[in-house]
Formats: sequence, C-alpha cells, structure tokens
Amino acid sequence: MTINAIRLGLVTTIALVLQTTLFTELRIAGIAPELILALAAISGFVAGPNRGAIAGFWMGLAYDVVLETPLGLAGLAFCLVVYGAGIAGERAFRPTWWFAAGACAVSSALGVIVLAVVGALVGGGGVATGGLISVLLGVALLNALLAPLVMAAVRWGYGRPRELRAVA
Amino acid sequence: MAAPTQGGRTWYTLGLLVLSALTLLTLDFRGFGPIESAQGAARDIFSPVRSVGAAITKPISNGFEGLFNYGDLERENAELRALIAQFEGESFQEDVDRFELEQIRRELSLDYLDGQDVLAAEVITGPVGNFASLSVEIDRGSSDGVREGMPVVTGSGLVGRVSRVDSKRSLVQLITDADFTVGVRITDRDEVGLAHGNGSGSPRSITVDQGIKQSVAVGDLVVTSGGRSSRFPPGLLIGIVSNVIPKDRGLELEVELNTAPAAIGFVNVVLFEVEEEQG
Repeated sequence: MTINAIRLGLVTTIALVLQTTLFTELRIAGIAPELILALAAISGFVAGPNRGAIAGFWMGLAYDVVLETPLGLAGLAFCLVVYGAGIAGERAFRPTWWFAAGACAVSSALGVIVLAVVGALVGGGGVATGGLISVLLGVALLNALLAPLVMAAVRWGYGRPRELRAVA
Repeated sequence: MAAPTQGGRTWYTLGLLVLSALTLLTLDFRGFGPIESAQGAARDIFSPVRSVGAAITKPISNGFEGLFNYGDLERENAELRALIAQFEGESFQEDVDRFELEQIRRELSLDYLDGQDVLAAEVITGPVGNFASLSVEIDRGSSDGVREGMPVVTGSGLVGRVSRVDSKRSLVQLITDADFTVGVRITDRDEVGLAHGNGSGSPRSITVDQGIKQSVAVGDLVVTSGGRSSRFPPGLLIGIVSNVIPKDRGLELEVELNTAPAAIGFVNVVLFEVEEEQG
C-alpha cells in the first residue's frame, strides 16, 4: 500500500509537471487537456470506487495547490467523478483500452461540469478558456487520446503492470 | 451480505471525502492562515521540480508550436508589421494625430515610473489548465519584495495585478480575466468608471460598463483612475476606446489593449501597495 502510494504520488507529480509546463503550450483551440482529471478518472477505473475516490481526492488537492483553483474544489470534483468511474469500471465486462478511453472521456466531461458548477457556486474557479461546452468536448477528446498512456501510468502506480482490473 | 457492507463502506468513504473537501473549501475562502501557508510551502517545494520539467519539455512545446502554429506566427508577424507601418504613417500625418501621439507618449512615460519603484520579471508560464483564472506566472516572489495586489505593467500599459505570491514566484491575474476589475477614467476627464475583463474570448479588450456618462469618442485613452481605495496608482495606461455603446444607465466602452496580456514575455511589477485604513 505504501509503495503504491509512493508510486501514485510520483505519477501525480509528473502529471502535475506536465500539466503546468508542456500543456500550457500544447493547446488545441485554446483548450488544454486536464491530465490530472484523466489520471483520477482512470484511477477509479483501475482501483475501484473506494480506493479510486481516495486517490482522486488527493490528486484533486494537489491540483488545487499547484494551480489556482480554491483548495478542495478539484478534490471534491475528482473524488465524485472517480467514484462514478470506479463503479463503471466494476460493472464493465472485460474492460479494454477503448473502453478505458471512452470512460476517461465521459468522466472528464463530467469532471469539467462538476468543476465548473461547483466553481461557480463557491465563487472561484469556473471555466476560463472558453465556453463550457467547447471546454467540455475538448477536454473529453484530449483526455481520451491520453487515456492509454495514463492507464499504463496508473496501472504501474497500483502495481498492476499487466492486467486490467478484474471484472465484477 | 458482503456486497452491502462493501457498498456501505464506499459510500462512507465518499461521504468523508466530500465533507473533507467542503471543509477545506470553507477554510480556504475564510483565508485560514495555516492552509494558505501550507499551500505556499507546497508550491515552493514543487517549484524546482517544475523548473526542471519546464526545461525538459520546452523542446517538445517549441516543436509543437513550430509544427502547428507556424502559420499563426507568420500571420501575427505580418499583422504586427502592418500595424507598425500604420502607426508610423498615421502618427505624423496630421497635427491632431501628432498631438495624440504626444499624449500617448506622456501616458507611456507614466508618473509611476518616476514615483514608484518597479521590478522587472519574466513570465515563466502562461495560463494553466482550463479552470484557473486567466493568469501568468512570473519569476519574482515575496523574497524580491512582491506583494499581493501589486499592479503589473509593460511599456504598453497595465496587464494585471499580483494575485498570489510564493517565495520565488508570483501569479499575475491578467486584466482580461473576467473577474478582474479596475477603476478607470478617460484622460483629461474626472469621471470614473469601472472596467472588467472579458475572459479568454477577448484576449485584447476589456469593457467599461459602469460610471461613464459623459461623451466619449473612439480613440480616447483610458487610464487607471487611482484614488484612495484603489489598488492601482492613477494614470496607468490601459488602452484606447474602440467602441462606444449607449446604454440606459450611461455608456459602455470597449477598450482595446495595446498588447495581448497572455502573450507577453517580460513585465514590470510596480511596487505599489494600498495603504490599509487603520481601525
């Protein structure tokens, strides 16, 4: 468990570095992928709702600290989204790469909505790079493209290098 | 009965996480000191890691920029050359234009440069992600004397204000951010209005939609109003009125900025602090 936590911490740190360096430049139509959100969503898919939500919460807090979002905003959004992704992953029959990409896209879209809505409610955050729909679609697409890489990183983080999570 | 227990446990975990997040949100909005200190310390620890990451990923982002945005760069260069030529041609054609140019020059050699210290800083990252406010990060922090709220300018005028300070870096909320507000006035007038950013959809303009009722013409210069409670010193150039829209309660002005704040590379932090009222 401790080794896994360290590995996941390392994966999250690398993702944060990429989010705050590379992906500030690599934007499609002004929209950047949300790598931490993808990481969190896939965590739920790989580790299930319980462990995934805990990981998602901590990833969200790391996102809040390093980015400028209010502390707890991404933590809240990510643990909710990851929990849903975890349940979807449990119910999926023989989860595959394309299923993971699709789940990542849907989870990311939901994550965008939760971040935007909660951000608007609490008076901080909110979508800054364009309209909600375009950001939602853009993030879903970009995160789906990144899903295979993120999946590999998360599986390494959880010490499951070969197999996808067991089917419920 | 194993499944309900498992389900109950996960719901319990989720509930606990949601409660924790809401508690942190509440504390953050109340400005709970230890939370802010912890965030600052975490960012300071992360900062060198990020610098290494930036150095490693720079060639990739440069390659991406060259590959996908080469056309945009060429077009921007062409537009800038045309703009320079236009300014050079227009500014000496008529006395009126010459007079306006003198006004611009006067505004550009802003009073604060004489009266206030400034600190040069490099922009190290642009806006991050899709949810943070429109902001850029600069390589100066509290150890350099930067404080929250300080105005940030370039030779072209106001570009934002410091919204967060860590020891070695600071975050600058750009003037184009939808939550950015600043008191403004038209040069040579006393009437004060309130301007706000328009978000990422308008990277080179802001809107004045409160307080201006007197006649305003396209081309008038807009500067900060200053004043006792203002976060900005008076007379900082903001931009030029590009459109005037009559409204029921006065005028709405579209103000074109001299530069797109998100694209700048170097800035000056004006070491200006609002004096807190006692008592």
